Amino acid sequence: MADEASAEKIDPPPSSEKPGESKKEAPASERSSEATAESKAPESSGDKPKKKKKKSAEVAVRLRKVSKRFGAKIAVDDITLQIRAGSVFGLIGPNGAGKTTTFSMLSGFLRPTSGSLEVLGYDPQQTDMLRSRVGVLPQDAILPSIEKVGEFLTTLARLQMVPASEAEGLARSVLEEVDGRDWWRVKCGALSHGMAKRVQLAQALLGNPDVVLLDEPTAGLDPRSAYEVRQLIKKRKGRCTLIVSSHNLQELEEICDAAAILDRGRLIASGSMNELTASTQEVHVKIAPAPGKDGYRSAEQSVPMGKVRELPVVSHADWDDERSELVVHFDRQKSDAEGVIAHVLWLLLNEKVRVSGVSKGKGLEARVMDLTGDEGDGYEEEDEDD
Amino acid sequence: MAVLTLLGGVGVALVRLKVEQLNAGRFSPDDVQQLQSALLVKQYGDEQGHYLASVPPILLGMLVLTVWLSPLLVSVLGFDAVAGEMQHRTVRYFTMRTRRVSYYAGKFFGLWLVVSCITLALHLFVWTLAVLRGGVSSSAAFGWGFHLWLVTLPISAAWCGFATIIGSQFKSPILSLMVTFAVFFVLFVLGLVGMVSESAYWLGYVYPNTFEDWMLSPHADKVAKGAAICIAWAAAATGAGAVLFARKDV
Repeated sequence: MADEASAEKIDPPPSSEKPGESKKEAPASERSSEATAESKAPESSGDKPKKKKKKSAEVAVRLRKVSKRFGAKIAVDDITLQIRAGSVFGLIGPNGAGKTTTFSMLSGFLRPTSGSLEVLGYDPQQTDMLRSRVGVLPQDAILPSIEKVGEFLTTLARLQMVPASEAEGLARSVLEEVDGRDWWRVKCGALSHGMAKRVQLAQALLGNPDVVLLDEPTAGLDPRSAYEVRQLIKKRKGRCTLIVSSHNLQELEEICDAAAILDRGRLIASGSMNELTASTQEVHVKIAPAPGKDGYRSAEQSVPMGKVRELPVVSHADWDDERSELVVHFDRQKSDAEGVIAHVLWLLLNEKVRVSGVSKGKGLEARVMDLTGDEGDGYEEEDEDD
Repeated sequence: MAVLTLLGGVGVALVRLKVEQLNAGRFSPDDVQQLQSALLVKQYGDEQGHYLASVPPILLGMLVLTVWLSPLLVSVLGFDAVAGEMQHRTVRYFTMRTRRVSYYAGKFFGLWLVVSCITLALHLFVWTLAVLRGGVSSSAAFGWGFHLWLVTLPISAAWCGFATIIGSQFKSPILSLMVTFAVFFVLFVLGLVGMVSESAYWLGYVYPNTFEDWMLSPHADKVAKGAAICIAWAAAATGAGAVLFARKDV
């Protein structure tokens, strides 16, 4: 972002701060037991408060004090969560966090030890009510190896009560959606990992379900396949409620409206992506070392911390030595991130500081690391049953 | 497995036919008839023995063979019906779209259908062979043959019920197979005890093959009772298995 040319004098930015008028966001429900995901559904964007209130009641998935034990081990511990209809919701957490167990309970594969779950207002095990309304991509369920892809998808469509005359057409269309039209006669056992993942995704999308649960949809895929799967998920955005679990935090940040962070079976934070990443509370400015009279000055030396802290929009500022970043905190009641970025950049560029990147918030990855790193053994690939 | 069963059964039938053909020159048909009648009377009692004396021996032999091998066939064909799909969680694609009770019942009926079809194919082959080479009239071969095949159905249903409930308790197919074999062997021993012990005759009721005798009776009520008990075993095992499976984490 910043180079030698950009270090020239620049006019001060117009102030964007309008106390009392800036967009206020509800505080993140960090370390709380209940949170509702911000919805991107068209219904939730209405202007009339009355209508909004009515629409906000549209909860696709609800967990109330849900716990799941496997013997002495507590896999999920007293989770309460609501996911609004139409949103793309991420489930985040390290190994053993309880993501897959939560997914499995939402899919009706596992029964909670205590508490209750509702998907579209029904118990997940009420298959008759949910069979064509919920699609699930299980993380580790292997396709039946001797069945051909077309037969398999057609059978599943028939199980969803799709009439026989329409089942094959529906199966073909969903297979085409995942770019697998040539696999119709291929046996599931002969598919590569990436192809199998797409077929699994196809069965999850079969019949345009209202709620789609995707557990690690891009795990083990090459970058191109993962990108294509992400595009598929994005295409579904707004058409249904998507709940996605992934270790790829950049991916989740990219596609999710909201998320919940789990650790050791407990819900430790949840809220909109903006809330989780604190993008409405802090700005990170990455600084590169600058050339000086006696060679290069370190990044830290080049930043006028005192002047930054004196800026009216800044509540306080810190230097993150590990990331070589200037972390600027601000009061979101008084200013928004864009206004703060403008002021801080104006100051830094005038001071000939070499800015190499700016981001709102700390990024989901850093956030998850902060929240889950206290006692944990790091962020690793997920076990079969976490 | 189905092919091996067919080949094995056909092989035994061919040997049996060859023996009958070799004996045909040495014994008169009346001698054979009397010998068969005496054996049947000893095995099934006076009335039932005489009733079965008109059954072509090859068909009766095939019935005894298929009923005897039924638990083996059922366990080998059914041990991974549920366990195999639980092991790799393939079952999840189905249980989210259909009631678990339906899934379980489908597994039971599927296994029963396959076992019944294999048995029918085996019997059909023997009926045809008996007509072509054994000097058995087609009416006797197909009439008695069909009757005897019907006898195998309730018995195999009970075995299928047992195999399905055992197989659905394990996620490892090999474990399911071993436990199925073990349980079936225990049932066989109980059946044996029930057969030889007058005071513990009731133990024989847990062994479905016990009811083969009942269903070969000339009295319809005894046939119905035998069939009903086998079907009751199958229904009880399937019902209990379905309830357990519905509560199970998959």
